Amino acid sequence: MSNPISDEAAGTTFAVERTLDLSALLGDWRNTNDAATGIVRLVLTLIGDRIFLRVFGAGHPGAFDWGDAPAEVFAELPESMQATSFTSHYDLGFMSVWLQTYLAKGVLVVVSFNRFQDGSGRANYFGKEFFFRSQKPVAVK
Amino acid sequence: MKHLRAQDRLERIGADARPSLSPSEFSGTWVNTNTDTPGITHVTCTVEGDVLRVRLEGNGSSEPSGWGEATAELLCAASIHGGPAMSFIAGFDLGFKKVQAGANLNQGLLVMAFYHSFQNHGGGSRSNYFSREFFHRAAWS
Repeated sequence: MSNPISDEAAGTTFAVERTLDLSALLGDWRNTNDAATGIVRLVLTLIGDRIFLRVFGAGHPGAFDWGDAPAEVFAELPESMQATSFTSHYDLGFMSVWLQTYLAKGVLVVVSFNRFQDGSGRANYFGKEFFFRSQKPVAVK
Repeated sequence: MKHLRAQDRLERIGADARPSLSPSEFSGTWVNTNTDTPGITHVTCTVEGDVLRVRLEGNGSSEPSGWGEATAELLCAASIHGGPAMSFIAGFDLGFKKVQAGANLNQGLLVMAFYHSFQNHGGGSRSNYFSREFFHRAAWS
């Protein structure tokens, strides 16, 4: 049985099908909750033929920048050319986070599966947050 | 305690923290709420200790009738403080495509998201795609 978690953890990057329209996903997404204590911002960028996610976690005085991680995009149907969801994975050393997302009526729904691997006693947990797009993509690097 | 989100910072792990997550709440057979679904019709969850095995069945039209069984690769509680598992990730390899499934319990439903990645795009005629389905407990489960 294949293990997609291991595949992603190995640093796989995903080539984007050039025919897939990424316009609904690329850009800068902000948490709909001003007081969010989880992820406060997501940025999706196309670099060459790869799409990358950048996550910012709630912090004080500034947000924590998790850096870039490769993302894999998905359409709503096999016949569709419009990308409406993506997945990504972060291995941050002390914890791993799997992100699964989808668009619903212009809102980006982000589900997170969080695993702690530092022996701290924190339980693996599930989260769900909602994001609106604050800025459409302006350039492709 | 290292953290990259405010919500992951805990001053103290409670004595009742349960890092070992029991998946027992998934146990049984789940039926798609949409009787006309072209996708997954049934989900069967088997629990052995802290191990959760997931078997999917399609109706044989747009999805194969038998997906085989996968072991959940990650179990998550509802919060960082622990408790019973209420979500999981599992991967399925159907040969022509790999599917990462993310699931969570919500209001008595098993909500499952499927991210389908074709291993051979057949000349670009099919896009990787996302689907989301809802399952209720079988009356006999």
